[in-house]
Amino acid sequence: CSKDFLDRQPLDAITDVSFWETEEQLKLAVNGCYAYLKGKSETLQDSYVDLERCGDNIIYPPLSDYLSISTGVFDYNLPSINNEWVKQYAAIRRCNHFLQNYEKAKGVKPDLLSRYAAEVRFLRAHYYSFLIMLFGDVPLITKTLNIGDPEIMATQTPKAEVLNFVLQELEAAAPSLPPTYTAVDSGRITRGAALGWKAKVALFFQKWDVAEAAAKAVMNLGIYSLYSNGNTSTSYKELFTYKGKITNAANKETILARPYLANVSEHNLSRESWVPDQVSRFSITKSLVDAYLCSDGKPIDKSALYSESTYAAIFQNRDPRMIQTVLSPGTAWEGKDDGDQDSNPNAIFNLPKWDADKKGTVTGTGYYNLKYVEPTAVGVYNKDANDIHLLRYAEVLLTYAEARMEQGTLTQTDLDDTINKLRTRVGMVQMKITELNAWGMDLRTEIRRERRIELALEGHRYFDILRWKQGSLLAEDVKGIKKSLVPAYNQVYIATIPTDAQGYLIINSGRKFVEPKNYLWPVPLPQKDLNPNLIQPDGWK
Amino acid sequence: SSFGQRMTLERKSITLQRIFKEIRKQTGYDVLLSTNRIGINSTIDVSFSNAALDEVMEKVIQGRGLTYTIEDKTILIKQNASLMDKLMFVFNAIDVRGRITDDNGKALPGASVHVKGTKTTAVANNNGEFFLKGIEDNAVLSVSYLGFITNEIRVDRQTVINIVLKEDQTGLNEVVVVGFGTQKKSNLTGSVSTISARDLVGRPITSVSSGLQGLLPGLTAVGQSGMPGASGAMLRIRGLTSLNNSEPFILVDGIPQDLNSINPEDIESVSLLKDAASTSIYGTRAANGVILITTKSGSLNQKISISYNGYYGIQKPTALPKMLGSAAYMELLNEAQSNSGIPPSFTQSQIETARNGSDPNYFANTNWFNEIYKNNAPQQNHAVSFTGGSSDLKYYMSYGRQDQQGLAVGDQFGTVRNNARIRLNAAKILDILDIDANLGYIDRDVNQSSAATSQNGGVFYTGLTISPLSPVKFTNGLWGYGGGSSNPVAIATDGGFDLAKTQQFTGSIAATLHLMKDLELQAQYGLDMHNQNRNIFSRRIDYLYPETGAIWYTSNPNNTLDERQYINKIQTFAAQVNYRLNLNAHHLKALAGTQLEWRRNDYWRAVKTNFLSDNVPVLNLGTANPTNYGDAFQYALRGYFGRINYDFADKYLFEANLRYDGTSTYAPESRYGLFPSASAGWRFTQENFIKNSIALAWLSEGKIRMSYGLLGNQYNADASGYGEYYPYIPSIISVSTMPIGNVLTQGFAQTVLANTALEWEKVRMFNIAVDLALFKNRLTFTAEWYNRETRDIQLKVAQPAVIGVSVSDQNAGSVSNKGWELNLGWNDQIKEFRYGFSAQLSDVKNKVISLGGVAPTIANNIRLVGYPINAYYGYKTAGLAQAADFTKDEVTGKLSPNFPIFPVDAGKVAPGDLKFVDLDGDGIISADKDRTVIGDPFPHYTYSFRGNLGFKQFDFSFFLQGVGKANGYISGPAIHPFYADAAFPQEMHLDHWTPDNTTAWYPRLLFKDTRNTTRQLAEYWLQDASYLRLKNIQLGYTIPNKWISKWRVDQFRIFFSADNLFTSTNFFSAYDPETIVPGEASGDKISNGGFYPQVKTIIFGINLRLK
Repeated sequence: CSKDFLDRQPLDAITDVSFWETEEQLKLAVNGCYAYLKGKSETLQDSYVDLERCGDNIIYPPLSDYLSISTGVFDYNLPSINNEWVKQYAAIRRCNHFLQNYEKAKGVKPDLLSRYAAEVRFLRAHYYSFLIMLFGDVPLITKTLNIGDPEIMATQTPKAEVLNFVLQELEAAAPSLPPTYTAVDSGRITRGAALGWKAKVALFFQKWDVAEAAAKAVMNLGIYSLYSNGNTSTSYKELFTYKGKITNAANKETILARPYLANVSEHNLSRESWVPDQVSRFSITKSLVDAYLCSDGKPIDKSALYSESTYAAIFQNRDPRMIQTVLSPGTAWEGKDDGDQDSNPNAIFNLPKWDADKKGTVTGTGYYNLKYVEPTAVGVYNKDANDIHLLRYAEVLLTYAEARMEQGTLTQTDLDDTINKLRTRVGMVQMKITELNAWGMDLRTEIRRERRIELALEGHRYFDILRWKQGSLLAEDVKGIKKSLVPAYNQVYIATIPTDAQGYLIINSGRKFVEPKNYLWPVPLPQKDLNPNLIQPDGWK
Repeated sequence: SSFGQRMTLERKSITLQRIFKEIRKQTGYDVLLSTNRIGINSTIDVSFSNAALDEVMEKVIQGRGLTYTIEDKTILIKQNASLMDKLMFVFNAIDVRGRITDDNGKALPGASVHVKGTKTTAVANNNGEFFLKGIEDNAVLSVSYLGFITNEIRVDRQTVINIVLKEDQTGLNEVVVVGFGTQKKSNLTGSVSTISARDLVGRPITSVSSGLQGLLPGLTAVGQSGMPGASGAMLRIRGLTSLNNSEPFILVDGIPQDLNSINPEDIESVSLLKDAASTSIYGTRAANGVILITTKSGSLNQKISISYNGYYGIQKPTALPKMLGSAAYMELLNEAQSNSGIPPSFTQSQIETARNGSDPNYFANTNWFNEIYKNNAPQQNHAVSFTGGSSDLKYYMSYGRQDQQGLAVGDQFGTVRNNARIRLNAAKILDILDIDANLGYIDRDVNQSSAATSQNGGVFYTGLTISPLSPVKFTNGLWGYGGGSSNPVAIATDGGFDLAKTQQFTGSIAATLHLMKDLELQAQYGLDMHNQNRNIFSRRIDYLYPETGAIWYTSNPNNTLDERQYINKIQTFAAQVNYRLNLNAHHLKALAGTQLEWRRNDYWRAVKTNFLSDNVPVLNLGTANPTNYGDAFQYALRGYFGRINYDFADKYLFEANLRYDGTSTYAPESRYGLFPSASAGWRFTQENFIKNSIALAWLSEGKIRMSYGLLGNQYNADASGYGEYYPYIPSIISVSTMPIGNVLTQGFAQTVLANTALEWEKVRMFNIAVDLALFKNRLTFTAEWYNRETRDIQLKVAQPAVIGVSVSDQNAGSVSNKGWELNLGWNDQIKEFRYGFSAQLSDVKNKVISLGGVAPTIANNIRLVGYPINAYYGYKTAGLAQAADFTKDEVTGKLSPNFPIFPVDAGKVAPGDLKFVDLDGDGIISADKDRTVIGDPFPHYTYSFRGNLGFKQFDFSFFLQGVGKANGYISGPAIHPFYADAAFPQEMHLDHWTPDNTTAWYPRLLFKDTRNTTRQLAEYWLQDASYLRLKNIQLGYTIPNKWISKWRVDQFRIFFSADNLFTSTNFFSAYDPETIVPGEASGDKISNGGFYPQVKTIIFGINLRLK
């Protein structure tokens, strides 16, 4: 037989040598680098929105890696921690592989070539930013590694150095990225995304001036505005439905998202929220509910408008974003039977359900979420195509305000250009520095409150708690509504739930947050096993 | 001669006849008379004291004009050949002709007829006919044929003598199939076990692999599933060779093929090649042992024989979990939630509702396992074959049909297999050419529920994960639902199907050219073409609220057809030259050849959703979301091989093999490997000092043999992605990514690193064995010991995650397997009572010797130097904590444990939790310092005991099979209730720890507890998975021929047979002990209960043969 009988090639792969030649190949390799954007998933490393569970805005009491992190009861062998590390380095490797080879391609228009490179440089910086926000010092790898390369066994690069790299890469990528794309490319990285993410990362690491400048640069692009349908009572929540998808031209607010697509790429967020025969996975805490101002701009402990006389009263006279985030009495829902006395389905929600008779969605705290729920996707498993918003213009505005405030340069004009635009969209009274002073309210607290309220349930809260060094919030008991608000016929279902001195249900206790240990995740055990040169952060040694 | 034979006899006036009897009694030698001129009643006086036999014989013939010869324990006395005698001889000479056949009238070409006391021998021709010219009219003929008991016949002036030979049941003279040839079993120097067709007869086996369980020493078969059409048992020959692929190499009539699509009725013999000497001729495919299947063929000059074998029977599961009813479940859930500080879900009145059944829609009490399973399911098998031959063509034609229905309701599970086979052998075309054409066709449908039958989903797993509170159907007759898991009965019934239709054609044509008497050329081309069309149609199921009819939940909202086409084509070509040389007692056989194998697989898949009809699943009727996929791979192998066998007088046996193998899988410079082996044997019973010894007269056969050799292990059977068939080529493949611009985008990326230096895994194997046959071959015994070491194992050396990509394998690490096998058999017949037993016992100790210097990857199934591959790795335990193990704080009343715990569990450990052992003594339990090897999942001391008894028309057999030692581990909802919403308690969980039941088996109940405390892999959860099983029992009755022969019926037997009827084990009552799967290279094989159960099968069948 012929001499080349054994000279065969794979039939389903292109060799690394023959790849990297055409524009189309480059595009496909860029696309491969998008695969690791966080979105919605039950696995921590793949989800951005579920990271909200690590904070104090929502709770799903049964134990999970999310709850372990949020309660501080976890060790360096928690699988999700290793998964996060592994995933980010897989993503980074893919980007490095592209950046090492893309220049080999021939006949690609120079601006397209640099755009591709900039998309990938953004993505690599984006992936690194999660590593430094969560782990602090991490190995900085900027080329593809092979078995035996010394970098594999190297120790961590200091966080500051990796941060510098991230900020520089974002800065360098921005000019080569287009401000907008045509419809077929919508969802790709834009210049605004590079600048906006830079602002976010700089804010996390208290580089206020960098954050301010980057946020301002996004504002100056002049292409972003807050999403509105003209109706103050629905615009905000609509952004988190199918109408707010990044491919919808009317949405000029979303800067970076993990897009989903019906029947092709779907998740289960809406069903997890309102699953009509189990406990909601996103029960909103008393802590978040109490954070909403009253409609007069005052907090509940200062405002005369606040009443807790009935369940419905809690939702009245509040920041209008509250009832667009938290399910309130009188709202249509798909959770079937609510907490009323009969066990028939209710098209309109009125009372929280505690009875596990499988006839409606049970609450963990007395509250349910509304934001991000696409009612049509509740009835079926994993059929939700809502985009997960990773960065939207509202956050850029909040970042700008906070960066200015931290530098002591925040003016009423700044507030009017940022926070008050958010309030205008929903018909909330404006934030006035003078009023805050008059009412004895702290500006920093209010800026932070505004961020918590505006961005609630989107996955940002845990990161904000970490950077504000408010870990003690995570050590507090998680509470729900006042036990006395539960009608007598439902008391039997909550009889064993303890209450605090004021009569609020204690949903979760025994939490801890060790300072400074818990501000960073430990080096995951498998990585430490494989590379003893990795050093545990303070508190984890 | 007769130097060893001595006798003592002192007697006056003793007849010659009496002396001859005495000779027989004292020496075992028969005396035969070829002349009647000796007066056997004449008397002489004798006085021998320990006299040599020659001395005795001289005395006997003294002065009688006689002479004698001694040959093969026979003393032949004849007349002195005086001239007169010689003339008389010619005068008395006659010609004798006849035919030699077996029991069934099948001709035995090549059988030899030897005239005793002479050098005259005739060999039967292709028709089994022989002709002897001019032999003495009262000569004695000795008729022998390999594999048959030698028969002696006195001519007695007959000129036509038809001789029937009985098959030798001891198998000592059998010819066994070995790689690229055959060998006399008695002359084997390698380690080969064989079985023949009769070992499989009358058993309701659904696949050949599960049928082999317990039959062949050294072969471990673990039944994986009783699902109709399941891939049969997992086979391992002498343990786990590699960390990767440990699958044996299986050839059917010389062609690599899947074992399980063969019709068991077509099998003539199975050879299991175990050591390097017998396998190295297959080079790089042989490291895990080789199984050679030979199919049946016809016989020359045989009238057609038609047989029908069929049975019908039922299957039942061997074991099923016993789930608790609703009220008990609710009470235990409340208890678990209270223990976890979470409010209990159910009120007392709700529990009462469940108990009294007053709300059958929301508080039902469903025993899901009763609902999912039918009481039994039918299984039937029919096989017809036609066999016969003319003088130059023999044929075998068969058709078989197997129909096995599944145990699940809804009738989605089931398989139908149709096998057809034609084998034609043309002999001596133009006097020198033999042709063997062998065509097989298999048509197989395997159907299951579209919800699959996997570890984590599907109808059976859901039985464990659905609440007993959900009804099968609501009171309005529609499918019941209760949140959480979908209704498995609804899915099994209405959820759609997953139908795989396979058409497989296997064909081979072989030619043997007899160039000279002892030189032949052989060539064989083989093709295995198997195409599979798989349709997965998932139907939408709406669960409606019983009151309003509104949709509560929809599983699979868009009915979906997923159609897949697999095209597999494997071609082989082999050519070899065989040479044979017999010079006196020197016997030499040699062969040399080349073999090619090349394979290509193609695959495509198309999916559409939203079908217009639930009943016509064809892609054209899908209206939305068309997607498609395609893939292909290929590889090629080329090898050269040679073998020399030499023996001196069938006494000193030698064999050497060499194989030089190349593959397309590795880089050109590391593509080829050389694999030699050598073996030797000594049949010490052929030595005269044993042969002629009276003291050792009980020893019929004895052989010591030894072998050593080198084998290679093939990479690509381990390939998880097709690109991996070329680990030396860095490849870029399609990867999934996110949608961009409202379309699903495609991405490309490198997902695995390349390794240009990768080469064969190398296996060295030493084997030593002894074979004995005692008491006229009635008792046979074989003992083997071997040491097999695999080096340069292809191993993914775990790398820190910063490398960011899956690493390719490297040649690192070695594993040793040391084992032994014992095999004992007894066969006898006392008048009409036939009986036999055989017993087997074997074990192999597997140990990782090296991991290439890298740290092991910590996992539940660990590979750790010094321990078995995939040993269970976890915590040692010290039982359940009791109140006395805690110190009570007098002020707060809080309990603090007096034993080490995980620091993160502080404050959450209470009486009833598992106590772990602090191995490093640092006062705390930690994942990195307190885990150790706690068990071995591989079955040890596998044994079997078979017996058969026959009396007149009745036959009875039984087959016990078992495992002496194994650790079983079941995880997930199969053993732990309440760790997730969908984990429900079983009857065994009633015995859980409470302050009132401190000696319980299960720890205190907790709800969704993911602390380190309970469900970690710990010694506590390993179970004794040893078992003894009545694998088969069979009773048959053969109707006497005289009643039926007038209808041309040759044999008519009816039988009753049962498989897996009875199992004795300490394993969880809920699961079959074979459920544990020995740790494997790929995937997490620790079972969580999501599988189709093993089945017991009871059948009634007939065997009918027409002539």
